[in-house]
Amino acid sequence: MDERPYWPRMAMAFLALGGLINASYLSIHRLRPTQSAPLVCGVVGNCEAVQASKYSVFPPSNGIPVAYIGFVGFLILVVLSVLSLQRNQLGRFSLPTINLGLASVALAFSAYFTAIEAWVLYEWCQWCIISAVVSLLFWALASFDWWQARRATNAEPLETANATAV
Amino acid sequence: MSNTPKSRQGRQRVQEKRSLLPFYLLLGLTGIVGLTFVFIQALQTPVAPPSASIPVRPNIKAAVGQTSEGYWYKGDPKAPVKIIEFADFECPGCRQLEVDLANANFDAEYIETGKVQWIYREFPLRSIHKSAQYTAEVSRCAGDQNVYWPVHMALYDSQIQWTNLDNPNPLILDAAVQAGADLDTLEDCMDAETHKATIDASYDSAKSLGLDQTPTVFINDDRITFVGNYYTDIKTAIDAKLGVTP
Repeated sequence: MDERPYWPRMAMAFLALGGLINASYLSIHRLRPTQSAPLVCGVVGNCEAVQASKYSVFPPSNGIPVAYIGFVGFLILVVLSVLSLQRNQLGRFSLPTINLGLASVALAFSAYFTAIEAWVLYEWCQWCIISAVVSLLFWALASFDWWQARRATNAEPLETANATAV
Repeated sequence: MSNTPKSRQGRQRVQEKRSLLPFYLLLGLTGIVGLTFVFIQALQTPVAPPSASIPVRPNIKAAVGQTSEGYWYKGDPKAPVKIIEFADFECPGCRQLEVDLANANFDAEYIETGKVQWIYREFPLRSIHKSAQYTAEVSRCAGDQNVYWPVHMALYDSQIQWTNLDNPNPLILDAAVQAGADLDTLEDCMDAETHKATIDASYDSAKSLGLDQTPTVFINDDRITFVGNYYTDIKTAIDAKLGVTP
C-alpha cells in the first residue's frame, strides 16, 4: 500500500497553481499588449524590457511566447499534482516519475531564462523570478515524492516476504 | 456489520477522500481568487493608451533621402515648406512629437502631398540620455541599409522599453532589426563607429546654433514655440506659411 505522505503533493499543487496564476498574468499582457495596463514590476528590474526582448518567445525571435508555454506547463502540473493525490499510475507510467520529468523540464527552462536575464539582457522581471523559484521548489518536492514512491516500491516485496515468514 | 479487509480498505479510501476535501476546497478557492485578481489587474485600461505605440506607416509615399549635409529627410526637396527638427531618440518629448504626428496622419497630409519636406537633425543630449548617441548612430547605420525611416520610427516606438536600462543596446538593435535592418551589417557598422563622427558633428552643429533642448523645430527658419499638442502647433505654423486660413 502507498504510504507516501500527502503534503509534498499538496504543496506541489499549490506551487503549480501559483505558477499558473503568474503565467496567466503574463499571457493576458502578451495577448493584449496595448489594451492592458503596464506590467506591475515593483522595484525589481524592468519587466517591460524583458517581455519586449526577443527572448520572450521560444525559440528566440520567432517562437511561441514564453508566457503561453508557462501557462500550459503549469496547468499540466496542477492537474498532475491533484491527480497524483488519488492514484500512482497514469496508464502504465508512474505519476511521481512523470511529475519529476516535467518538473525537470520546467526547471531547465527556468534556468535558461534566468541565465538570459542575468548575462544577456542584464535586466530582471520579478514575474520570471517568481516562476523560476516556483519551478525550483516544485522540482525539489517532486524529487522527494519520487524518492518516497521508489522507497515504498522497493520496500513492498520485503514486507510481503516478512508477512509470509510470520 | 462486516469487517473484512476489503471493506476496511473501502472505509479507508472514503476517509482519505474526506480528509482531502478541505485541501481541494482551499486549492479551488485560491485558484478562483488568484485568477480573478490577475484578470482584473491585467484587463485594466492603460493610463495613456495613445502613448503605448506609434502607428507606423509602412512606406512613406514621398521622396526620402539625405540632404547635401547628410541629414535624412522625407518629402519633396522642392516643397514650399521646409521643416528642420533637432531631436534625440531618447528624449520623451521627441517621442511624443512622433506619436502626435503619427496619430494625426501627418505624413499623409503634408509629406506625401508635397507640401512639406521634413529634415531630421540629430541632437543627442548625451549628458542626460545615455543611449542618445548610440541610437542616433544606429539610425544612420540603418540608413546605410535603406531602412532609415522605418528604423527611425521603431527607435521612438521602442524608446519606453530601453530607456534607462543598464544594458539597452540589445533591445535597441532588436527594434532596428524588427523594422527591417540586418543585424550583422548593423553590428559591423556600429563596431566600426562608421557614423560616430557624423553624429558628433550634428551635435556640435546644433550647439553652435545655440540650441539646448529637444525637440526644437524650425519651419522655413522660424522656430516653432510649442504650447500644446505637437501636431496642432506644427499644423498651425505650416498653414500660416502656406497661407491657409483655419
